[in-house]
Formats: sequence, C-alpha cells, structure tokens
Amino acid sequence: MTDLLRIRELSVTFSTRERTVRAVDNISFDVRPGEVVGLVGESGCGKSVTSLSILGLHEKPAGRVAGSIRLGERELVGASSGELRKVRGNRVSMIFQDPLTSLNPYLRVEEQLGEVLDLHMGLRGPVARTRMLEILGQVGIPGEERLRAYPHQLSGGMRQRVCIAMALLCNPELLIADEPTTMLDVTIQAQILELLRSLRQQRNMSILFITHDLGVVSEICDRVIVMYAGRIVEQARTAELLESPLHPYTEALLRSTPRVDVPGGGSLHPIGGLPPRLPAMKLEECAFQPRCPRAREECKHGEPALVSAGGERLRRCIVPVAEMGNARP
Amino acid sequence: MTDTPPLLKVQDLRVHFATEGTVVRAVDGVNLELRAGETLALVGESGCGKSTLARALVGLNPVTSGHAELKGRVITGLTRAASRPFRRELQLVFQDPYASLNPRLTIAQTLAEPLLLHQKAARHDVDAKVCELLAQVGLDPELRARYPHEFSGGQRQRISIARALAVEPSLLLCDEVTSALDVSIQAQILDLLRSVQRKLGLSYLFITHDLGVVRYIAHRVAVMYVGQIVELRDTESLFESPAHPYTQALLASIPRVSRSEHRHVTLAGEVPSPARPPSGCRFHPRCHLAFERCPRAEPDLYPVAGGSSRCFLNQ
Repeated sequence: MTDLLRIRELSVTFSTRERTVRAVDNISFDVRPGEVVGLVGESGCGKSVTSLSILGLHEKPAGRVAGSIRLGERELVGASSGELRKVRGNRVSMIFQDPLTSLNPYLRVEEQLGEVLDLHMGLRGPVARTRMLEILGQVGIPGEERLRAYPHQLSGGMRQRVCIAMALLCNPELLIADEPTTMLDVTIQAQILELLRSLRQQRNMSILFITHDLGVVSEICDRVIVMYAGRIVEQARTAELLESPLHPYTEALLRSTPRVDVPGGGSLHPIGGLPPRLPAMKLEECAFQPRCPRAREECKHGEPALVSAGGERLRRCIVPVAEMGNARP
Repeated sequence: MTDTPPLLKVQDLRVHFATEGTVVRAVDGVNLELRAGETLALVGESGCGKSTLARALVGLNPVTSGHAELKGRVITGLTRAASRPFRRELQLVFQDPYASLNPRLTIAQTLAEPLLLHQKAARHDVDAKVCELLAQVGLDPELRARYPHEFSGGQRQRISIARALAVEPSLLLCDEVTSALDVSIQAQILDLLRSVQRKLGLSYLFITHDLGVVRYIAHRVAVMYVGQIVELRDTESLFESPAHPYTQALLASIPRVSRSEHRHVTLAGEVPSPARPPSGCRFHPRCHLAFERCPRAEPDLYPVAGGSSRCFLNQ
C-alpha cells in the first residue's frame, strides 16, 4: 500500500536571541491510507511541532523546517503559502485540544461551517445548508436549531463535535488530531473516540493522533510513535508497544501511569529527574540516559541509532531486547 | 481508625447560586466525614459540584444551608475574622502552579510569608524553617533565592505544597493538583503527597477527574453527579464492584492500557444542568437500568458493601 503521508529526515529549529533549539530532530515516519498513527510523548517532546510542520503552521520565521514531508505526490516543505492553502482543509485538516479557542465566538455554527464550504468548495445557499446538516448529523449533532447556536451555547463535547464537522466538510484524506479529548470528561472522551473510530471506518480516512495518554492510544491507534527530546525513540504496533515496550522510556511511561484496572492503582515508578533542555547540536549521548533506570556506561558515549527490532518495530536503545521486560529495574 | 471522631464533618451542605430567574444548585445536600490521616477522593465530571464544595469549605463560596465542622467546630458561615483560626488548618493546593505562585517573590519570600503571618517562625529562624520545608518536598534548599519562572511545573507544584505545609494544616484540599503535569512528574508528586501524609498524619480531600490517580492515592471515594454524592465507598470496593449505574458507566468509559478489556459501553448524552436537575433520580434520563420509580422519587444513599449508593436498585 502506498503511503499517504511520508515524512523523511524532518528537523525543526527555533532560534531566539540567546540560543537555537532543535525541537524536532531528524524524524521519519509514514501514515498509510485509513491508518491511525499515534504520536506520543510528554510536554516539549516535539509531537505538536511535528504536526504543525505538516500544515506549515509555524510562526515564521521562527520555525525553520528541513527535510521532506510528502502528501501523496506533493512536497509540502518549501511549498508556497498558496499551495499550502489548497492542501489545508481540502486534503488535510486539523482539530485541536481546546475547541473553544478554535471556534470564532462571534459566529454561529452555520456561519463557521458556511465559510469553509464557500472558500474551499464554492458552495452557498441551500446546497451548503444541506451539506452542513448532513455532516452535523454524522458527528452526532442532529437538528437545524444547532446551526443557529453560538459556541458559548454549546457544551465542551458539542464544540469538539462542531470542530470535527468543520474538519470533515471537504472530505480530507488525513485528519491531524492534537490532543482532541484532553480537555473533555471521560464519558465525553469515550463518545468522541467512538465517533473518530466510526468516521475513519466509513471514510477510510487516516488520522495522525497526538496525545500524551497511553490509554487513549490503546483505544484508537493502529501504530504508535514515541517521541522524547525531539527524536523518535520507539515505533511499533499498538498492542506490541503496550505489552512489551522495547525502549526504557516507553516502559517508564507505562510504569508511571496510575492504573484504574489494577488494585491500589498499580505500583507507580516515577521517572526521576526532568526532561532535558532541547539541544542545539547533535547529542553526544542517549537523550534519555540521565533518567534511565537501565542506563549503562556505553549510553554516555554517542547517541544510539534508531534501528529495527524485527518487522516494523524500531527502537533507539542499546540495551539488548532480551533484557527488556524481564528483571524489572 | 473508625472510632476516632472525624476531622471534617460536612452536613447537608448546599451551595446555590441565583442567576437571572434560575437557581443553580451546584452543591445540593452533601454529607461527608473525613478522618485524620485519610484521603478522600471527590470525583465526577465538570460541573458536578466537586470544586464548588471544596471552595465552600474554605469560605471562597457562600454556603446556602447546612454546615461543615472541623475538629467539632463549625467552620462555614463565619465572618473573615472569626474564620481566621481555622483557615490555617485547611489549606488549598490548586491545579496550576504557574498561576498560584507570585512571580515577583522568591521562593524563600513565598514560604516565609505564611510562616510569619501565622507565627510558625520568628524573624531570626524563618530561613532555617524555609530550608526545612523545601527539603521536606524534595527540593534543594540552595534554590530558595530563585523565582517561580526558574522552576519546572513539577517543581512549582512542590513549592505550592511546601507553602501549604508551612502553616501546619490538618487538612489539604487538593484540587486537580496533578492534572497539568506530565505523567512521569505526576507520579513524583503523588509519591510526595503519600510520604508527607505518612510522616505528618495529614488528611487530604483530593479532587480529580483521573480515576487512575484515585485508585492510587485514595482510601475512600465520593462520586458526585449534578450536585449530589451518588456513591461513597472504600476505594477498592468502588473499583471492584461499583454499585451506582453512573459509577459503572464512568469506570467503563476510561481508556485502559491493557487491551484485553476493551470498553464498549459509552454513556450517551451529557450531564444535565444543575439549574434544571431531572426529577427523581438525577441520573435516570441517562441510566440504562432506570425503571418507572426512578423519575418519580428521589433515592436516598442506601448502604452497600464498603459504603453507600444513591440508587433504588441498592435499596
């Protein structure tokens, strides 16, 4: 199957007067048609910066993007703003964590959706209205009266549904979802995840799902990419990753998450220390080494490469696979 | 532990807000007891009244009726002056350590203020006491001359906890204290709270929406729905055999890392407004077990193993 999204050697650097920071460092991955890929990691690991690069949404000139991002046959790195505008909304659209800041508080639902249809598809009047009602029905907001509502008159879950409807209006091939359920209550989160699963099925749409929550990953993602300090540290199919993590950082993330399904919440093993300040240059050691319970002397000498651990699995660690998963550190 | 009188006792507490023509019943008849050294988690979805309840306990929201007692003395409905002796006993820690620390004060100044105000230290030994507090929350006392922006989110939350501990409270109200933190840092803060409790015998009223955190830190759990407690149980009883259909639905909707137990039930619809609570049982419009009695009569809290549940099916 050909890839829909193909990212190669992507690096994003930000320069301030004091220093230069490489927020994303030489990452490569693919998203296939109809696939849900999770991009996971903690604050500052580069997951959101990666997703914003795809749509060219960095505030320029601060973010410098190098490498290649191909959507089908089209190269997006270095594309003109006119070309990017044709991609955004039409082929790729995005939903964010906070639906209230993504919606214009002064416009009714009807006007927000209408603007998208007008700009991207040239649809107006009754045709546009029919399309709006159809799409709102699909995201679980039936009825004409919701078209006249302002964002503040809707609940958090409803607002996220409106954002999803707006993102789907032009039948995108790829939906980028940046922590779309983080601000929602669990019962509403469950509804939104269910909705995204069914939409993906009906439309064979790909989703790049950015989250910090491994529980959410297990609910919706086919494959997972774990990021730390701007680099990919592990990539695997979801079940494999959650059952037998092959990078100590993934393992530590799982072990520091309190469990609802284990008496006493499971035993928590906090990761000591703090995430690193992002380096400007190439690393001389493994980025996770200072916090790693499995670290050894060699980890301080040179950064390990991202290598195959069988099939599609990738890991950036020199601890032998056989040692992972047994003899918990 | 059951024989000791409760540290905190909340009786039929109501907090109602009047807005144009309607009354929002944010907290509507809550009864609670919290013992010394105990952690009680208060859980529920946005708008269920959990934060309003906590704020009412420290006098930040006016109480409409009912009352709360701390160590046998009423602490609600008092004037500012009359409540001063109790305010020390009850300290709040908030979700956002960025917003709750004064950016213009050094950490030493931030911690010295409550120490001097509540006479927990004299001028000459305040610095030693500040160092002791920082060490207690796992921060290097050498950093005390720094400002909040020089610390990470997790470190700032440690500072907020140190400030709360400065006045030697008996109860900490923790309102989503780990929600803004990454999981690896959250685990550090949860461990800190546990060890502080073990050392000082503090009680926690722990407000959170994260049920994994609840199972890890709480001894007992109160589940709130539209201003009322619908289930109050020992933690393990609640997670092993939730009695109320709302608790069951809430637990079922949490995404789990273990793939084997995939969730299928999702609760349809949304939480009703506390300005127009449904008749009878407030959960009946969304309950898949509701029967003819549920919309007509309001259920009480009925005893179940390890606590109580507000459902006719548990009667």
